Amino acid sequence: MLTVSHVSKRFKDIAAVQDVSFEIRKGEIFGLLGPNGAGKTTTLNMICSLIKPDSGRIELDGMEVTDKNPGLRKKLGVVPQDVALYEEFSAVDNLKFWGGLYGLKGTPLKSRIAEVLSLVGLEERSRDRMKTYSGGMKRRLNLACGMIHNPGLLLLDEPTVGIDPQGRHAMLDMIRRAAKSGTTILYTTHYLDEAESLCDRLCIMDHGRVLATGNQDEIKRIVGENRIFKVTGVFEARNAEEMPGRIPELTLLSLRPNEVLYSLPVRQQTGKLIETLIASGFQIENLSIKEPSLDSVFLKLTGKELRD
Amino acid sequence: MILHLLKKDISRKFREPFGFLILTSIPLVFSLLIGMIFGPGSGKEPSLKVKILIADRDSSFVSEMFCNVFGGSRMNDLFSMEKTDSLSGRLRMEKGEASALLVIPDGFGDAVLDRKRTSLVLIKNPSEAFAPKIAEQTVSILCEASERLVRIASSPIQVIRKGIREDSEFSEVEIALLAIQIRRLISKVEDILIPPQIAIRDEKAVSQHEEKQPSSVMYTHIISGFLTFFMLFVIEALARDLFQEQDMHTLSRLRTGPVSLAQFVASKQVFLFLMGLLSYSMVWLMAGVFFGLKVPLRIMPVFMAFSVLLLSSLTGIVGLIYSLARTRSQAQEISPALFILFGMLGGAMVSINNLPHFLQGLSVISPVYWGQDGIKILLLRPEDASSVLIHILIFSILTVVFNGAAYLLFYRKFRS
Repeated sequence: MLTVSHVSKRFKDIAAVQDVSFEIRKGEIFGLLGPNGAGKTTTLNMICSLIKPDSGRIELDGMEVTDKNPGLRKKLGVVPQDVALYEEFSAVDNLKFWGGLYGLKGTPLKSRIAEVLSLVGLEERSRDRMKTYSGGMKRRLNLACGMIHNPGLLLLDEPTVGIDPQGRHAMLDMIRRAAKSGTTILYTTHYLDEAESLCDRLCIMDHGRVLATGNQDEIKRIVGENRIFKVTGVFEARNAEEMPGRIPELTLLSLRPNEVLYSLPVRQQTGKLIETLIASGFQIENLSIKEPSLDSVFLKLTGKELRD
Repeated sequence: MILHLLKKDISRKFREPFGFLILTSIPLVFSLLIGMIFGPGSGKEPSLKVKILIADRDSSFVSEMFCNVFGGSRMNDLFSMEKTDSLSGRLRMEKGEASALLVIPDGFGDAVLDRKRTSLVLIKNPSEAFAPKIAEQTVSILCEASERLVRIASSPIQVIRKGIREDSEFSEVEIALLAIQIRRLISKVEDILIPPQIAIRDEKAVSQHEEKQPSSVMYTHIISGFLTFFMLFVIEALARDLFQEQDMHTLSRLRTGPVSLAQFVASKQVFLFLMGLLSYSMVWLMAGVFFGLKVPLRIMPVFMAFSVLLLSSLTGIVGLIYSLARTRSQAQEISPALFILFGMLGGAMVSINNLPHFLQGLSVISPVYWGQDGIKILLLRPEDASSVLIHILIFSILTVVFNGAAYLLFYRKFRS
């Protein structure tokens, strides 16, 4: 459905996106996962032709997406990170406007408005002005307006940012229902749990680069059956580097002052690692263990946790 | 697509019309106040007379002539004269009870008739801008006229002077001879003496016109300058929506859909123009209701063409400012400064005639000047409506140039 091939974008001296490639298949929920500044929004903006890539090509249904092809853009539905609606209007007025923009009118528009209002649970407040809505309601309407024209591909840019846990849960539910109705979804997030629970396939990004792409099993296989050990405390860097020689199958992932990351297969005993660390002069202040997960994948790939 | 965007903008404005109505109501409120002060129902006529006090220490027939000029029927429309003595006159001036005090010194008449140097004292009220100047100008014209009269008519004047001094009665033959002499002199010198009188007659011509609608002419004068100046502010307030769409992120969202940037910019420019035109029309409508200000039907097409082009050129000016400004606050700071400059140069605040000479020449660069001048011609001299074609031509050029430039700059700005 959507193919992003070797796309790069620089803003002056900053390489926002570097040689990014991935493919989104029809009917799936595809997640772009990465911390803030990873290049997710820039990638999304290039897909909806808000910004032009310096190099590479983006194709939707085999046709190149450019700002000179407004017809093709009708196939896209965009839900921006910030609520981008008219506060003077009610939910119905906003939906009428955005639907009308895509050529919907009359009975089809009315019935589609009823559908999306029901999907986002705003039927009862549909005639109230948007400025009287809570933050969560505004975000739901933001989602509804992106879906009003029944787009083939719905682009969601961190739609749950700033919503309370209950609202987040409801929002994810709505997205699942939209996907079930046949809409292909590109979902960007920096929440691992959202990506894990929602997405069929994922692309992990950091510093503008793609680190890994695949379904969740494929991605988790990157860390294999390994646990990630994060040790903080006082130690000699030389000792930390020599540890893999002392314990078979131990891998050093990253080393920073007072913090070191190791990967160790689950079959290996944790107690032995701790004993060796102490014997090597480590004054351990904290030791955390991550079971194989997207988080540990991210940790392994970037040497840092996603929340860092 | 442009219509869809336009409908959205107009609909948004009418959902929250408070700001727009407040803006539009300012000239209406201004007009109503003027109407209440000077209008037919107020019971007051505009008090435009210059109050002058005269302290005549001379009591000669020459000084009497000065008093008669200010108190006579010819000047009655312009001056309200009151005789006083020098001391109480000065006290009343200190209280600001008159525009000027003219002190005629003892021996003034003899000095004038003997063609010796003499002087009059004119004390002006510093708190008034124009009235004391009118008094000063009139006294100076009278001085010049008296001097010339004495030079030209010294012979009959000396006869009259002698008669008055000796308190002798003139025979009918002497009176007839004097009358013939004076009549001949007047016909010779009327070119010199008439100018001030002509000026007075001009004032009367306006007064006659005002008899039917005393407030409408005054309102036309005020609204002609004020409206063009004011419309710049109305359009500027509406233009803020351009940046608001950026701030609300709706511009980005629109661009992800089937809306092209060109359509967005065009829709905004049409929106500014239409809302400006609506505000402008509302002012005229209220002016018609409250002041009977009516555009003669025969010049209606010219008036409409003039108004549409005036509004579209003002839209272009505001658009250009906003397209050049980097931020909304920058645009909001530059606009009023520029508008006030336009207003000053264009005669919206101060009559162009009162501007320094070098600035008077610059008036033509202000759209307010052309707006004011055009409206005055159309409403006060509808028979000269064809002379507004030059205004229409200027506004057409401004419309094309400014709107075109604003469109291109906006396109570039939003694209980046």
